[in-house]
Amino acid sequence: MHETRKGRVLRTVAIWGLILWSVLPFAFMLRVGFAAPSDIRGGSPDWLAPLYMFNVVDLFGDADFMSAIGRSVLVAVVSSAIAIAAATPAAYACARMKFRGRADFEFWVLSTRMLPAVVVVIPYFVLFRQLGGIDTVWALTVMHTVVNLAVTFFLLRSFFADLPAAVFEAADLDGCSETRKFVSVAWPMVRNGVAAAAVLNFIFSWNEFVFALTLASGEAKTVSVAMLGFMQFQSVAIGPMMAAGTLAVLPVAIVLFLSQKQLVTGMSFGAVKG
Amino acid sequence: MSADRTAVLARQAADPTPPTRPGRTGGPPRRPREDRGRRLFLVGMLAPMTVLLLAFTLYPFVSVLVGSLRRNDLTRPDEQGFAGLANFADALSEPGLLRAVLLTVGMVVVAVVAEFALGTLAASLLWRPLRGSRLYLALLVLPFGATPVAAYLSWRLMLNPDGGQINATLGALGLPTPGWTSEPMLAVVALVVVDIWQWAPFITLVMLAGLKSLPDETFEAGALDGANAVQRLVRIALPMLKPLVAFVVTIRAIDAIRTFDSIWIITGGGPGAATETLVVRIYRTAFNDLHIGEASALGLLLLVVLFILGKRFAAPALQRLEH
Repeated sequence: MHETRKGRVLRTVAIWGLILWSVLPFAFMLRVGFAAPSDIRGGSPDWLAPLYMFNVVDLFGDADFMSAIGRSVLVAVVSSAIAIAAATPAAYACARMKFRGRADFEFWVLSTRMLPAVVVVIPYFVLFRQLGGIDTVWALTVMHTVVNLAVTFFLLRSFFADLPAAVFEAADLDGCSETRKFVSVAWPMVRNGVAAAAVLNFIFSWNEFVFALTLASGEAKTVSVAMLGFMQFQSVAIGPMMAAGTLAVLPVAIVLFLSQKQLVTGMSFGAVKG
Repeated sequence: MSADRTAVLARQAADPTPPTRPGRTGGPPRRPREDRGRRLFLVGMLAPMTVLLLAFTLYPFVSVLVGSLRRNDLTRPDEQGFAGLANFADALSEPGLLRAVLLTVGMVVVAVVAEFALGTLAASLLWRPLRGSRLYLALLVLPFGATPVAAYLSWRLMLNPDGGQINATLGALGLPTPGWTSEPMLAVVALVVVDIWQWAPFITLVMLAGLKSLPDETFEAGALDGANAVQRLVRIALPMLKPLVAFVVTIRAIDAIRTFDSIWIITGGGPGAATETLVVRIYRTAFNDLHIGEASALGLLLLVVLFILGKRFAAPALQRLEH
């Protein structure tokens, strides 16, 4: 199907317009993050000013912010591991085995993505308050596991479902037990999928805000809450704040370029293969 | 605990009300030769996930239900006990609740419709390869994937009526500089625009995957009939992708109802209560006023609404997609 030259020019212009629109807040963040205080007048930067590195350099010396990054990494890694350990076997069972109530089980998993965090956190807030777990990384780790469950489950289910049936038939002929089939046949074939799920879990935990705000906004704060710390009463340290934003976004952005397809598959519950 | 028991538990948790439809007595008849090893394996595979799901769905649901029926105001710890429906009465009689509900519905409808239209339009632009489209695809996940809090803070600074980037630019061009976050109506508009900025790209990626899955022949036939690009999209492609459209609109709507982060960071629900949606109201009631009982009552009502939406629309849409 050929298109006219005019049509192609129009499409190109439209796409470049969309690119600009999508990166606008990030461009602003980068410019302000690398601008000297004197080059930010009244909240908007002088776009042509020279780059100023000290906002970022100072952050690396900011023990408070650095330890927030450390806690974010810790929470993300542990919650991701728990989610993967629990969701992988269930994803395999739902993808490759028939059992009664399977559709209900899958909807049950899906429902965890429909619960508003603001509501779910209320009973946990009360519970952790009684247990003395408010403002600890452990309370947050527990909650971030739920953030990651559904995405992990649906992503891995789509990987397990895509495996060729012939392999499993061969395993059956060899008299493989169910456990053997999962451990020695399916698992080695979905390792990449598990790695992708781990990466996405890390990102979702790193990005999460509601649980972090309600359960760990003091001593145990993570990156997303730490960024708000640059808003003081009556004034905002906007250079440092946007530098912090840049540090928060950069690792995620790099990883996202590599795992785009899985992100879309996971977020659409396996409905599309990104 | 046997596999059947797990499944029954799963069903009860996913559907707190016991099934009342006549004739539903629990699925197809059991296959007689389901050996014990297989069932044991299945239980083992589903057990860890089941435990976590119970902890994250059933426990909060029951807690919120119980909490909504108890006196629980953290500012008055001495008053405890059964409250009956007092929390619901309080929550529903507070001024501003109706406004919060209407605001939520309005914002969700406008945002989701705009996101679907713009997202699908962008997907159709990318349908056929073009210079720049690969870069766009690479950048497209940033708005909804890259640390939203950082992006919202950036928006907040740009929207600042007093010297923010947007008004600085408008002022330099000699245009009016409205109070984006200080005027009630404009604050709502700004938040909807930010939501569109964030989520239209997600719809683009989903719809693009859908468009690319359609067979080329269909459109060659369409082109011969003299259908233009818009007609090809609206008359041929979208009807073929109906299940995907239903699914993506439903999950997006459910997510939009739950929107909290962007509102909390950009306007904090203000000015006044101008951008206080239902979710923001629940948060304020629970964590600013510490009226846990009242917040639980509102939360329960929201859970029920979302659950019905999920059960009626999201689950069937997902099922249809898989067939």
